[in-house]
Amino acid sequence: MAFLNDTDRGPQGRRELVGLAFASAPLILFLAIPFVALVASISPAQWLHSVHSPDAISALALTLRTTLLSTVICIVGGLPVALLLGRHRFRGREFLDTLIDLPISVPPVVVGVALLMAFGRMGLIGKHFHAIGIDIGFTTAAVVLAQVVIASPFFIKAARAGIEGVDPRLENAARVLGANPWRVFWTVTFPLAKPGLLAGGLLAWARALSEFGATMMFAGNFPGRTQTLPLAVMSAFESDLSLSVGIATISLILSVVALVGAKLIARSWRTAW
Amino acid sequence: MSFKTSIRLLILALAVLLPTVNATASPIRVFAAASLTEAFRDIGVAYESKHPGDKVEFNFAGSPTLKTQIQQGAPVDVFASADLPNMQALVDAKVVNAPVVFTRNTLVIVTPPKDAAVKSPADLAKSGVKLVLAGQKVPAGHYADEVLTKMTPALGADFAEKTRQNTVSRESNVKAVLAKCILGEADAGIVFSTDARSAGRTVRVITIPTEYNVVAEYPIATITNADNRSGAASFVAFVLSKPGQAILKKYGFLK
Repeated sequence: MAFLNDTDRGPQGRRELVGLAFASAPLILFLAIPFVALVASISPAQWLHSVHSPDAISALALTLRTTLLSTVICIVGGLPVALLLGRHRFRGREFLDTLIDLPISVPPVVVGVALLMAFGRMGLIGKHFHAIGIDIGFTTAAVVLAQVVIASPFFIKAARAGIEGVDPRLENAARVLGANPWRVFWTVTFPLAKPGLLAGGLLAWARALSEFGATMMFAGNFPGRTQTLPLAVMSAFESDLSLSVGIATISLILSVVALVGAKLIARSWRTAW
Repeated sequence: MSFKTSIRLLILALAVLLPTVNATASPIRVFAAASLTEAFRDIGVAYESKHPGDKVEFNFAGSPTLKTQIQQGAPVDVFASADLPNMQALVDAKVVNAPVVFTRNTLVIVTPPKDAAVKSPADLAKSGVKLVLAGQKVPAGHYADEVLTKMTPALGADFAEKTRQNTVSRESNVKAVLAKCILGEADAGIVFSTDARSAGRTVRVITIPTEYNVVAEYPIATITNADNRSGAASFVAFVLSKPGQAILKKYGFLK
């Protein structure tokens, strides 16, 4: 669509495009070069070797398992929140909105410490769990919890934008025709907001894939149990740099898949309109 | 602004900036094992007061992390490792000059201060115990593995296997192991005796009998292409000197 506008604007638009391209080049290069360097620093043979290492395989399996579960939790738990924020005015709405933004702006390692203070063995809530013999720290459940806290805001924000994009008159029409709120949601709001919800789910998945700080603090680092791809990159960095780079590229590929998926969904949505 | 004023301003700016550039000679950058944190900070202060004008900057982390950073060309003048293998890797790569062992350390078991599930080394193998160790390449981690192996015949043939099953996390440096024990997240951890000492009453210490313990040797070396060679050599000399050794002793390091 941007290109359409440029032809509309004629030669002046094209000149602006060229000027902006030059002005953008330094930062774009700065963003791209590290990833290119990462991929270029490892030979295909080394890459294959590290991808087949037991640490990489178990980290990949654990990452897929935990992030898919945490994404589902983000969607199921985040959908009502997105509807609440996107469709209703109430006291404390701004407060809730700020709370949702908090995990995005707070360093993940702070979220990790906070999770320990809440759900650790001596934590506010964790101590009661501990008393009945349930410890959350150092378990795969702790990995999922950390990912949910860090990733759910990404789903909620995108889902809310999707819901706000649905014309309320359509929902009202359904209501007037006698549909209950449940039916209004599933027959009107959900189908129309679906692209936003899907893109939000993919963004949350992408964020969960890259979660490191909170996981390391709250879940610890043990292969097969709590060592996700980012933690495996850190652990391998201590002993075998090419293994570390190999695992890092797996992580990079997964993130690209998630982000491209979100982009494609968003684009299909725009063209549909 | 006329050309003349610009030139005058430029000269003024240079006159102001140049002396500061000269006075702040490049700092002595020391990469040191996490277990040296408290002792080396103190040594840094003592060194700076003895050498006015010199500035010491520290980067504390697990020895293998520091080793990799140095291999990747991190700007550094001195490296102090908590074990020989991490130093040897840099010696082999000719990145550091000949290292000298400057201090020694031993291991202890630490547990949270109250309601400890672990009261003796044998308890480490009890089912359900959460044991946290440093990573396998981290000095405190591979020494801990060594200790657990040494204890195995005496504490039961399956002691090593059971403690391996009880290990819930392998942290990137020894201070992270200590933190998990202080927090009570772990039932026990194995750290250097100096780390336990620095933690004071926030942990309970279980000593490891000498026959099962290890003596960890700490090597220090200057970097071959250090920016501040004289500063690096002078800092290493200070660590080996009487005042430097006295500070290490104060923190519980062995001669």
